[in-house]
Amino acid sequence: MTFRTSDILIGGSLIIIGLTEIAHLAGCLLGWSFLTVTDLLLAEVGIVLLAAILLSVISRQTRKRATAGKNDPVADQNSGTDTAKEKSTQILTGVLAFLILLQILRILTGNRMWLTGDMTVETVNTFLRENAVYTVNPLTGTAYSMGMSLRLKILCLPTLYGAISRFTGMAPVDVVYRLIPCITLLLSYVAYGSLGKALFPENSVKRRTFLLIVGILFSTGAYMPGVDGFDVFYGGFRGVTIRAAVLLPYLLSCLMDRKYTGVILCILAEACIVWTLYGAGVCLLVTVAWLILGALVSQFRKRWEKRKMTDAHGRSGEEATE
Amino acid sequence: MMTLLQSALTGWTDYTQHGKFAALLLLAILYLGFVLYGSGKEANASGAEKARKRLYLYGALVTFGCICPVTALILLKYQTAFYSYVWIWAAVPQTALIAWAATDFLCNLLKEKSLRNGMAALILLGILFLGGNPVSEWTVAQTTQIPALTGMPGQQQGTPAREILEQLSVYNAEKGNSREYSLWAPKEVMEAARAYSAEIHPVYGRSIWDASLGSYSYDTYETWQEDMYLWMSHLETTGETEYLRTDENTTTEAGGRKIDFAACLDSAGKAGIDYILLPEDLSEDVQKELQEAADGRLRSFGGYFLIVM
Repeated sequence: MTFRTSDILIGGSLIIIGLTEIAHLAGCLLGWSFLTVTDLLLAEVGIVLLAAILLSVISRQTRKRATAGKNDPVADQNSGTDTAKEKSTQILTGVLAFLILLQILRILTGNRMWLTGDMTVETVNTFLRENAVYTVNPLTGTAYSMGMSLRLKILCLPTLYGAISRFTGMAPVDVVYRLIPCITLLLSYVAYGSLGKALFPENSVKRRTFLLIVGILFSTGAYMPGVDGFDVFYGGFRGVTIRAAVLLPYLLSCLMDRKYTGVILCILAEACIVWTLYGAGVCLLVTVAWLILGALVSQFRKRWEKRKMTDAHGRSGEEATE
Repeated sequence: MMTLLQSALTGWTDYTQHGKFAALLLLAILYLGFVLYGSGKEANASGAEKARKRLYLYGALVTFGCICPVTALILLKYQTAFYSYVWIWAAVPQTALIAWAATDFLCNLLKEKSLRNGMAALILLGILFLGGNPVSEWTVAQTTQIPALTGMPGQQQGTPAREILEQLSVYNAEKGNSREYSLWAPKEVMEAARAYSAEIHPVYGRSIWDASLGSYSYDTYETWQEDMYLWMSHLETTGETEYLRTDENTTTEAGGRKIDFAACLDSAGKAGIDYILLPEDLSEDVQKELQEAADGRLRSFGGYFLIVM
């Protein structure tokens, strides 16, 4: 299996969400203090990072040994690359980078957010102040008398944002409304880049054009909740936005490339960041629909080919009798 | 169940009201259908081509699943009927399909460089730009000014709500009190309070007016808290000091229960509230009336009237 940069970036982010969930559950269910929870998260991330570096070094050495003395087929292919195509790709990359920069500026300077039904900043503030996870109502600061739904309680994004706020020293309002939406935007380009690679594997110009149009759609389509552009620019910190802009395009690219580890990571990450209620989430729905569709299409194709074969046999039989 | 059915029936019409991305999506599905299946080369499709076709089929089927009321109802049920219709569209790779179709169209068009093709490409980009409606009043109404926003670099001040909360916190600290204090104030200040600092305890939170936040807690507000919220909202919108609450099952001559400032002050005292902020843009008569009810404790403070309890 080969890993691309997009797999490393998005897969890494999804693993961080999983690690945050473990730490968050320790705070939620075992009553650990928030500082201990963030320390645990830091330790987890450190260990996983070390393990990843170690594994990559080992796999690189193994690959080096295996390919020693052989010609690099990729290099051979690249030697004949069309320079005009390369130039177009470079120009499109430049335009795309400029567009992304403008979008980042839009997030950093915007003063409006989509806050209906959301209390992320209040929750992060409360976690940091109380040094505990969900002991008081984040909206009033008073202790819960009836408590809250466990499905909502286990969503881990506030813990992740609180940990970032603690380790960077940034105010929670800046982490949630500025930093995280920028990261979501960048990750969404990585996810769409991965989908572009699955759609146009041999054409880099088409891939850049695809990303550029995605960027235009983000900017012009920021008109209502549920549309990617609006979600990214006005609610980039929300779980539903991360699902729509990062998880789903990445999930589709994984399904197209048959990378089922990525698929599983997306389904699990959604469960950790979005209130899917009793429904099992959109990623699972997409995966199941994709697999059923694949099975139906292959069944249909088999029958169609069988019918074609029988027709051909029938025709050749008729010709023979004639 | 009826609400759900209504949502499934009218959802599509509502969804297409504010921007035209749904129309672009249908156009993309139509175009990709012609491109992928128009050539008739079914049998010798490569692995990537098969995956592309499956993505197309998935996108088209789930789009029609969201439009058709029967399947929309099933999808609404899948998300436990809690989220509104718009969220079933999360399963549709809308941006991906539109971008894929537009990319394919543009790249095919620009293979042959001519003025006509260039103009067609420009028109397509124009359609993409006009497809959304990101500057409409309706879009702005979906968003809120960030409460407790810090001033950006080069920008000295944050929001007015943040400024008054900052002043009040400094005032509270100067008085030598504990850093935590409870507050009753107009909506914009209450909205920003917990986002500004978790040391402030507002008498009610945003969930009192944003019903969708109610799901975060099984706790509900008591009648006196609702009274205080309704009275303050009424004062802010009308400048009147009496509010007639008609949503309860109380039958009085007036047709409801009267809530006045004295009753709210009494509730605030019992709840142990430290500070009350009132809007300053009130008529002189109203100011006088409030001053009398507060026993002369009303004083100007950072663009509001402050009462220290």
